[in-house]
Amino acid sequence: MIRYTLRRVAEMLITLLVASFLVFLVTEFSPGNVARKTLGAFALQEQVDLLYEKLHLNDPLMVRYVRWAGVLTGLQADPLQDPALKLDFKDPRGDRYFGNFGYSALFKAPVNDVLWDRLGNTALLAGIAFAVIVPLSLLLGVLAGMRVGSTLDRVVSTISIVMTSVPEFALGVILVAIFVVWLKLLPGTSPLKTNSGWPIWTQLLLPVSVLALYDAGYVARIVRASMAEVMAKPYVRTAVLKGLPWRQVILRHALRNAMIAPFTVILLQINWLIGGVVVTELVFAYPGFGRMLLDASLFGDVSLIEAATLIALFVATATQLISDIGYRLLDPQARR
Amino acid sequence: MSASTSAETAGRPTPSLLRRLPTSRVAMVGLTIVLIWVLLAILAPFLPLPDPNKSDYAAMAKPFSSAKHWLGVDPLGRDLLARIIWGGRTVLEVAPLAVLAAYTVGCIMGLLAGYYRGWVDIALSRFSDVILSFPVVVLYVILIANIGPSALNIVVAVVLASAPGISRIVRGLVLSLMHQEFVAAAYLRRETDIFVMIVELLPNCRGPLITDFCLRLGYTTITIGTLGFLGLGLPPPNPDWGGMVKQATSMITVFPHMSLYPTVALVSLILGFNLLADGLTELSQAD
Repeated sequence: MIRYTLRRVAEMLITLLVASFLVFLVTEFSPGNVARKTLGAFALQEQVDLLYEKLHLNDPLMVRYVRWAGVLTGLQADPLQDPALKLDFKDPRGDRYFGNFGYSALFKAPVNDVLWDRLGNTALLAGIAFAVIVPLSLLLGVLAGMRVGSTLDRVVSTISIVMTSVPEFALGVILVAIFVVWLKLLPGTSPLKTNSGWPIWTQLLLPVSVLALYDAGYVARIVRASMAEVMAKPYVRTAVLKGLPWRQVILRHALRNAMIAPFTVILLQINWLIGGVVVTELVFAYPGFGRMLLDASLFGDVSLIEAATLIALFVATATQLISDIGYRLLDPQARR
Repeated sequence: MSASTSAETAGRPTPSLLRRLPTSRVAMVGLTIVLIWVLLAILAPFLPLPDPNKSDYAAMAKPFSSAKHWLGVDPLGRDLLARIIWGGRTVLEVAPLAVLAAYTVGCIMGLLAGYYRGWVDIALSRFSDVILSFPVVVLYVILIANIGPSALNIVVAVVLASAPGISRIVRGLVLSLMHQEFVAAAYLRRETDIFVMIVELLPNCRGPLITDFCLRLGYTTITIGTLGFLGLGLPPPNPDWGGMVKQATSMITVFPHMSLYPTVALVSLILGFNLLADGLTELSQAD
């Protein structure tokens, strides 16, 4: 088990390394762009050319990638902070430290000053959504899969297929139309500020609902399928035939085995949740990580895009790792 | 799991999945919804609709539904019904094209990986792992933002994001088919590798792939809509459902119909694809 874990961690690190190179490739493929985007649309061509030269943007992509990785890991000083460039980019942490993501051209501040607040807000949103999705989808999925073909099963299945057909932004628009425009019960934007006249929890209600409704439908379908499969197994039939109360059959025999597949799916759902967060935050003007990534992409803020994508990748691969290891612990057959 | 069952049934002369389609009510409902949109998309140039890109400034004062504009007009005074129908045309052109392109690349990758194994398999599988570890929306956002929003680039992004998933399915199917007698027979006839892959293996993968194709059509429709909403969709003034919603959301408190109608259109098409896929899954599991 320890060897397996170590191997998976090594694989995760390699995946992260290759993926970070792909991100670098996509964002910094055209070097002229990097200098232009760092200085903004109003910089003179001479300034852009000067920066192009100072940053050695003429070097091959691979060399620039290694240099970027050097800055990120603190082995190299951030060239943008060089006073000779007169860019006035100052980072209170210094120009050489681990986790130096560089300087955000959009926010005119070190990436680390911008990133973590936003990430905290998103963690709040995604955390609450996750806390709603898991029990809701488990309950609905188990109830539906317990008696395949029953009215409850049909209702749950229909609702979940409809919910998975509504993209997050569409769901957001529909919920805003109902609860904000028509019923006037909730705020349409969630800036997370108390001076907007709405308490924070009311601002969180709609974004959380969008994320939860979309994902819960999908997870409930997986749980239902897994539960239905287990219910058809001989050991469940034996348990019923030997006269065990229904509750015990479900809780002791069926549930334990039916939860293995959904466990993986639920953790992998975090990968989807990150994407859903980008869209939901845009709908509700939520000051989070996803909207920051979108703004950075539309603006062309190279450092911020790279930082945000790397963190999203880290979260996604880490949850995948946890789900793989957890699966092994849960399912003795997978251990071999 | 589904790979092994399909391999077992591949030899039996059961009527094909598509021929049994009418027996599934769910699939037929889905197919009907999709066909209605396809029909509207094909007929769009012949229907008595106003120009979808022309503003009717007189209607802007009262943008609600009227005899002239059945669903009202959008924030720029353009007829909503015309834009929705023409927008459906765009989605129904781009989505199948993108999924087909992704399938071409994914099938080639999967066939090569499953057929040759060894380092080809390792290289392709590792590459797929890296792409699949990206949160999908994040991948789309950084790609489109850097290569620019256009129909072609959306297709490119969909191919990059979906081909690894398709390749994984095909690879698994090919691995399970390689032990079959018809593959051995093809070897004895000294067929070329390409012949075995395309004539013997690929057609026998079709069952699970048909279902996955419909599911992916739904996903890709979601993707196109979402990209439009994020401001990374088709460049204006072409009608694009997601973009239409984005344009109208700032006015949702005053003119909710402007964002609601395109939303309903988008959801109905996705629902059509998903119901079709659901029906097909049920049919293939009934084998």
